Amino acid sequence: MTTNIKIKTTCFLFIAALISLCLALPVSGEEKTEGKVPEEVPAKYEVSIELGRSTYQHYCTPCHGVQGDGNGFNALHLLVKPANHTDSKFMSERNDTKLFDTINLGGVEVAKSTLMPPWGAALGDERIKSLILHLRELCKCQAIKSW
Amino acid sequence: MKLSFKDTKLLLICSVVLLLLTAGMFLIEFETDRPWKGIQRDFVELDKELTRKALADSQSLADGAKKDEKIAILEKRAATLDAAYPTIRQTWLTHFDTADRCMTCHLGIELPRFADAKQPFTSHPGEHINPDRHTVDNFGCVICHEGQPVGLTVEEGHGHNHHNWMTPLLAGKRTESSCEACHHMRSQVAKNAVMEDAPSFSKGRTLYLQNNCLGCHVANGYKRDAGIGPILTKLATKSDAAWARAWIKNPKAHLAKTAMPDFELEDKKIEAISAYLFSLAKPESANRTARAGLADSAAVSRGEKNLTDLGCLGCHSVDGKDEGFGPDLSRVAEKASPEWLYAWITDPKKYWPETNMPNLRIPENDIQDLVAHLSTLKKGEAIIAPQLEADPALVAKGLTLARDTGCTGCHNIDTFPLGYNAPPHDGIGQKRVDELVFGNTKINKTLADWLQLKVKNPRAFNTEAIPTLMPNFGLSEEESEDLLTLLLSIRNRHNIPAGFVYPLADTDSVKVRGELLIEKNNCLGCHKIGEQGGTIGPDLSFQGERINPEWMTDFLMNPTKIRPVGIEPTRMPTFGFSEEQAQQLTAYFADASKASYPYYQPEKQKLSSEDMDKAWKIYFTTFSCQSCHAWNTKGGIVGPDQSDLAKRLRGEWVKKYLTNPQKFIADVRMPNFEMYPDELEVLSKLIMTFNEIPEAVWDAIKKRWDDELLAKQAASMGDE
Repeated sequence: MTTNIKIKTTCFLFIAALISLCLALPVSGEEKTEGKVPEEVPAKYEVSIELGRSTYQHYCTPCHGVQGDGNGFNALHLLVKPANHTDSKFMSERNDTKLFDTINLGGVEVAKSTLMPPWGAALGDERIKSLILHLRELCKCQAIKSW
Repeated sequence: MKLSFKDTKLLLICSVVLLLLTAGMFLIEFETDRPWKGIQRDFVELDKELTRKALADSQSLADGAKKDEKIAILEKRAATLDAAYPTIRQTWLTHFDTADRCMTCHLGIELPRFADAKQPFTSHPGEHINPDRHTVDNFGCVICHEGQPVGLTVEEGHGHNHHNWMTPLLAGKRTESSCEACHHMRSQVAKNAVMEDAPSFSKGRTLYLQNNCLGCHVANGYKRDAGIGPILTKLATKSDAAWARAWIKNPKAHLAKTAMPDFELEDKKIEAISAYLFSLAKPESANRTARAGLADSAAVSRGEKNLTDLGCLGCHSVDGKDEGFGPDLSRVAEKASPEWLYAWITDPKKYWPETNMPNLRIPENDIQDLVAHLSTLKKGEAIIAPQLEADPALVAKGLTLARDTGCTGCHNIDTFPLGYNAPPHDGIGQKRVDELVFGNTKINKTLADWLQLKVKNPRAFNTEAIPTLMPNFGLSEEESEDLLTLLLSIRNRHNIPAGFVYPLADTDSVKVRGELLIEKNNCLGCHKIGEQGGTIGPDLSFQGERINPEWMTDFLMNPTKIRPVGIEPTRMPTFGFSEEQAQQLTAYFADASKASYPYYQPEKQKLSSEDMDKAWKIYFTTFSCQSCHAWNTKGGIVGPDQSDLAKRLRGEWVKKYLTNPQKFIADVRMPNFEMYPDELEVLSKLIMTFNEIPEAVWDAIKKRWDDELLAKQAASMGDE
C-alpha cells in the first residue's frame, strides 16, 4: 500500500517537474532575445588527482591528518574519531557515490556523525570528485561493491 | 637749378627702383621673420585636404538629416578656412596673468581630426585636454609645458637655444613635472602612491623618498623621515670591523639591492670611519643563551621552518635577489653576531628605537633556533670576534669623516643630529644654468641635462677645485629619468591661483592617513587588502565591515593570537602602535569597506526559550560548530575561539558571513552550511551572546548535546 502511494507521489512530482520545466523554457528564451543571458561561469576547477591532493591538504587534514589516518591536530577535540582514510577495508566498503554524498552533504546525510560538515557548497563537484580520486590513492583500494 | 627731362626721367626710374627694393625687402623680411604665416598656410592646406576627405566619406552615409547636417558643417568649414588665416592666435590666461600664443602654430591641438597629423599640428595626446580637466582657454600650453608663451618662432617659443631662459619647453615624460604644481603630492601621501597619468613623476617620487634623498637635501613640502639606515652607535655589539669596511667600500657587492649608496671612499678613509664607529661601544661577550642552537643541525632546520612559519618572509627575503621591506637575509651571518641577532629578535626597538621591525613575541627556544639558522646564512666568512684596538688619532679622524661625509643623512650615530646639509632642493626644478657647475663635462648646458647626469653619476662634475660628496645610488637609465622628472617638479610656482589647487588625494582623509601607516609598517607584506598584498596573515579586504572598531583598536595596540597555530602558525607582531595610530588604522579599514565608524553593536535581541533550544541544537548537532571552534579554549582548534566573538565581530557581519563564507575568503576552511533563514536567525543571535554565558552553563549545555551525539553514534554503529 505504502509503496503504491510512494510511486504515485514520485510520478506526480516528476510530471510537475516536467510541466514547470516546459513553462520555464520559453521564459529563458525571451531573456536570450533581450540579451540578458546570464554570464556562463566557467568551471574553475578540473577534476584531477593533484587538485584532490591539494584540496585534501588544505581542507581535510586538520581532522583527518596529513597522512589521512584520522589523526589530525583537531581530532583530539572531537567526540567521534574522524575516519581513517588509509584503512582499505573500511574504505573499500564505500563506493564513490557514498563518498561523494558524505563530502557533499556531510556525515548526517549518510547516517554518520554530524561532526563531518557538508562541503558541497564550499568546494563544488569538481573538487569533491578530485578528493575521491585522492581518497582511493590514500586507501590503495577500490570499492568492492556498488550500492 | 633746372632739371632736364632726361634727368627727371632718371630720377623717377631710380625712385621707383628704390621703392620696389624697399617693398621687396619688407616682403622678404615679412616672410622670414614670421614663419608662423607659412606654418598657417600649411595648416590651411592640410585642413582643406582633411575636409575634402571627410566630405567624400560623408557622401557614403545613408541619406537623412544627419548626412545633410554633416555636409553643411564641412562645406562651411571649407569656405571659411582661407579667410580665417593668417592671424596670431593668443589666449589671455586671466587666472595665471599670462599670455599664450603657442596655438598660433599648434593649430590642431584641440581638434581630434589632427590626431595623426605631423607636428606642429598634432592634436594633444591622452585625455588631458577635455572640458572636465584642462581646456586650452583656461590653461593654455605654458602652464604645463613651460616655454616662452609669447615667442612666435620655434627657438623663442620653446626656449631651447636660450640657455638662460629659465623655463625651457617640457616635453614627453618631463611634462609630468608640472602636474604637481596644482595636484600637490609631496610628503603628505604614501611613498608608493601613484598619480594617475603621471607614471614617471610617481616613480621618481617613490625613488626620491625611498632612497632618502631628504636625509641630506631639504625641499619645501617634503618632510625628512627618521633615518632609514640602522643606528650605528652600538655597531660594535653587532658586527666586526672587517665586515664594516667591506660593506662601506661597496655595499651593492654585498647586497645587490640595498639602499645604501656607494660613497666611493678611499681605503684610508674607510678605515678611519670604521675605527671611529667601533670605538663607540664595547663588543658583547659570548652569550650562551644566544648560542644555544649553533652547530645543532636539528635546531638549524627548525629555525629554517620558523623563518617561514613566523612570518619573517613577509618583509625579508633570503635569496639575495631582491631587497624586500627589510634587508635581505642571505648573508646576514657575515654581518651580525649570534648575540646581536638574539637580542634583536627579542626586542628590536631596544637596539634601534626607530626601527620598523616589530616585536614578534617569539618564545626563547624558537629565537634560539632562528639564530642558529640565520648564523648559517653566508657566502663569505661569518662574523669573527669584533675586537679592534684603534689608534686614537685614527678614531678622531674617523669622527670628522663620519660627520662630514654624509653618514648622518641616514644613520643615527652617537650624538650627531640626524640629517646632513647638502645643497637644498628647494626650487631645484627652476635653477638657473649659470648656478650650475659643469666641470669638465661636455653635455648640453641645460638644467635637465645637468640633473640627469648628476643623479646617474653624482661625481661627474667633480673637479679638483670643487669636489662633490654625493654618493652613487646605482640608478638605471630609466630610474634616473624618473628621478629627473621629480626633481624638475620641485619648483616654487607662485602664480598658481588658489582656485586651481586641486590635490588628487585629500591629505586629511582617513584613507591617506591609513595608507601612510599601512606603508610604514608594511602591512601588505603579510596581509592582502583588495588585490594587493601577501598571504601570510588573514585577508583584510573586508576588515572594516567585519570587525568591531573598539576591539580592533585594542588588538592593534596589543595583538594576541586569534587563529589556532595548526591553521596559522604566524602571529600578528606587536608594532607598538599608539592609540591614535591604532584608531587611524581602524578608521581606515571602516572607510575602505564603507562601514559605519564610530560603530555601535546592534542591541541584542532576547531569544525565547524555544528558539534558544533550537539554536543550541543547531550549534552542537546540526552544524556541530564546536568541532572546529573552541569556546574559552574548550573545543576544536580549526577556527578562532568564539568566546569573545561578540566583542570582535560586528553583529551585522555574522549573518552575512555565515550565509556564504567563501564569498569573503575564497579558501576559508569554514563550510558553507546553506542554512535556512530561521536557522541563521537564531544561530547568529545565539553566538552574539557567547561572551555573557557563565562557564558552568556552557558546560552543562555542551554535556547534554555531547551525550546525545554519543548515544546516536553508538546506535548507528549498532546498525552497521
